[in-house]
Amino acid sequence: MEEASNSATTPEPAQQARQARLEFTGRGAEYFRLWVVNVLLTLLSLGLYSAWAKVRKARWFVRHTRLMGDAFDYHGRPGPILRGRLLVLPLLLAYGYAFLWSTTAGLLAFGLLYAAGPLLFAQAQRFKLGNTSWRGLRFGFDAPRAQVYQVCLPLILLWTATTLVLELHLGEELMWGSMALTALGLPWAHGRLKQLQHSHARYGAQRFSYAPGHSAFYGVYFAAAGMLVLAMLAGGCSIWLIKQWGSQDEVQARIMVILAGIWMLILAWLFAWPVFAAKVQQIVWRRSDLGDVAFDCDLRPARFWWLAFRQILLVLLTAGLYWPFAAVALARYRIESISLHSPVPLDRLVFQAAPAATDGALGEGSADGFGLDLGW
Amino acid sequence: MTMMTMMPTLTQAALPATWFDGRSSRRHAVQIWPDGDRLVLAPTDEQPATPPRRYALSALRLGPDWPGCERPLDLPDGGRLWLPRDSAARLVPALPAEPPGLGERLSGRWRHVLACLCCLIALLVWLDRQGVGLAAQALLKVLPRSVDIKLGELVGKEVSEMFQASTQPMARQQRLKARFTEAAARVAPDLIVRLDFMRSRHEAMNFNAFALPHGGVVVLDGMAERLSDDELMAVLGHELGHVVHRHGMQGILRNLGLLSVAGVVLGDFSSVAASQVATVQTLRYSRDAERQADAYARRFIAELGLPPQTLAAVWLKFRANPLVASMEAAQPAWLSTHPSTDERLNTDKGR
Repeated sequence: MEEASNSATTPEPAQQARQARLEFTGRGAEYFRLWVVNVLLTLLSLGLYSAWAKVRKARWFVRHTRLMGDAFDYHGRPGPILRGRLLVLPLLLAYGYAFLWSTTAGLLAFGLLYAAGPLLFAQAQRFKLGNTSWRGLRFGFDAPRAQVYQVCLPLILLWTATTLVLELHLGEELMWGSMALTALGLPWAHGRLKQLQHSHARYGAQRFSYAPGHSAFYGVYFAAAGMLVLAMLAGGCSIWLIKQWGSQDEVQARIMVILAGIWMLILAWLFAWPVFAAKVQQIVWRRSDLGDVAFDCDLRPARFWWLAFRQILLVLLTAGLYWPFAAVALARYRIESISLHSPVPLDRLVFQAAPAATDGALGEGSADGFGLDLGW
Repeated sequence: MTMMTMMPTLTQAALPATWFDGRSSRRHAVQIWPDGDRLVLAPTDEQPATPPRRYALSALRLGPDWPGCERPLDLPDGGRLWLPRDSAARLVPALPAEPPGLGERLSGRWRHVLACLCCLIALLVWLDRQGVGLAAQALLKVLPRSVDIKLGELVGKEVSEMFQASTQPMARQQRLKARFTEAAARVAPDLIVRLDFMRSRHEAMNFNAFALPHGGVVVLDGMAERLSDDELMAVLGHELGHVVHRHGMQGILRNLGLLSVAGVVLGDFSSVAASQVATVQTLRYSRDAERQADAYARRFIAELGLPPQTLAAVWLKFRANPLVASMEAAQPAWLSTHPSTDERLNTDKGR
């Protein structure tokens, strides 16, 4: 508001900032209101409201994200998102449970995933970016179909290789082989995916560009694996301590095994996820450009990890009620770590619109359904 | 001087706003004011000044009013206005606002939010205690039994790898198998059942018996050693009850339901966290199912002509088993899978 009236009195000052940082102005208490209502209505409507909830949530987060005084906006409509979700639910169920039915059904479901997965991913990107705008211009995503398949198929194949080997009972050697292959190939495939996402995105008519660097992704996965080892150590120590405490009853030991498994998983996620997410975000934005504008991301993995650790602890202590506050705190830190650097004053940069295209939301719904985190 | 002639009249103060024309990312500071049934938009930073634009008020819809955010206003020509909240508030009677959805109306007031929170907590408790179970039972009716059989076969393979061969005498194994399959064929003719004896590597785990969804029943050596043939038939009746009532499949459906609920509540950042919550909840696999199986066992032993006290004798041996005793002492209520032995004994002693 202030800036609007300021720039009205001083049009185009010669000295303008050459860098700007993303800001997040949303507050946890506000998101809490939205979240409670969203969750309640989604449960009461047996999931149908989730499309409206998604729009309300996306709008809230996007409109509270600002750059150079102006807010971003989200334009997705619930109708297409709901259609997409309803279409993709059977696909998801098939993917999860077809092998329980029969091997043929399982192979069919996986075949369908290989055939449709890349297209759904591209569609999800297009829907998400095409429905996001800043300063009246839409973002967009257009990648040639062949390239989408070239990038997404190896990733999906690596992701599902071990499951496939297990389901088809191809033997233990092959299982270890496919696990090793996944471990070796996943960082490479992930790096290519980010390259696809960021080099085919655009703002208005201006394409983003991305400097590929797959070796950096190996660093990320290595760090995440290190955190997993730390989590196992911390978990092992805590379980050993508790064991010293109580008596060595076999039954108690059996219950302990179940609880320890859950505790280990929570620890693994708590230790590895923040570091992984922070490092990926850092790599991706540092390698991205929009025309002459370069991005930087000064997200500190250690700081983000400590923040996530505290926030999730509070969520656990409040039986989940703190969740929206935690979501906002994490989003704020991630968003505000991104900055823009331009060789010319940023306010002199003017981007032009591209001819807009509207799409169905099949992809949006499906990407959600598959749990792909498409990030910002 | 066109600007002057277009300036608003004294009664209609011009309000500041930010305008984007939708063709470029250039930001324009503008002044807006209603003029009859039109909204007038005049750029204030254009050189040379461009003529004001006019839009029919009836075609415009002002976006939602959120604290700390300007209110968006989409223009029919693809442009976008962002109105400071106080500017927007002064235009509201003339400028129609986007009708708020149910969600917006509920989120708008803390009173409503608190009411929603209470409803949500009540709903979650009910879903956990009853709702998801009811949904699972309803779904079970439309799910063909062939799925149970498939699943049982899958689990059965893993189970046989987990255990060792039984050390029970072959003659007794054969006798019990024949007696059980014959009785089951009479009580539940449409089921194909199968009885196996196995031994756990862990001695403390051996006092147990369980049923798989396809009708495979496994008795472990610890239980076979301590129970008489008649008493074992009562236990087998209980396990057959699980198969007849499809408790295995029901449990899986219940798990899925709880997973979905946890996904809705916590899913917006992590599905891993959501699945963990569901796991803790599903450990407490329905005690109602166990009571149902107990009731089936009572009918089963009656059918075999065994005295009703047989089941009470089983519970007494349960209570005498150090494993069961310590299990009941150690387990918090939310982790226990069976009704307490005392409860079971009280039910069957009076018979």
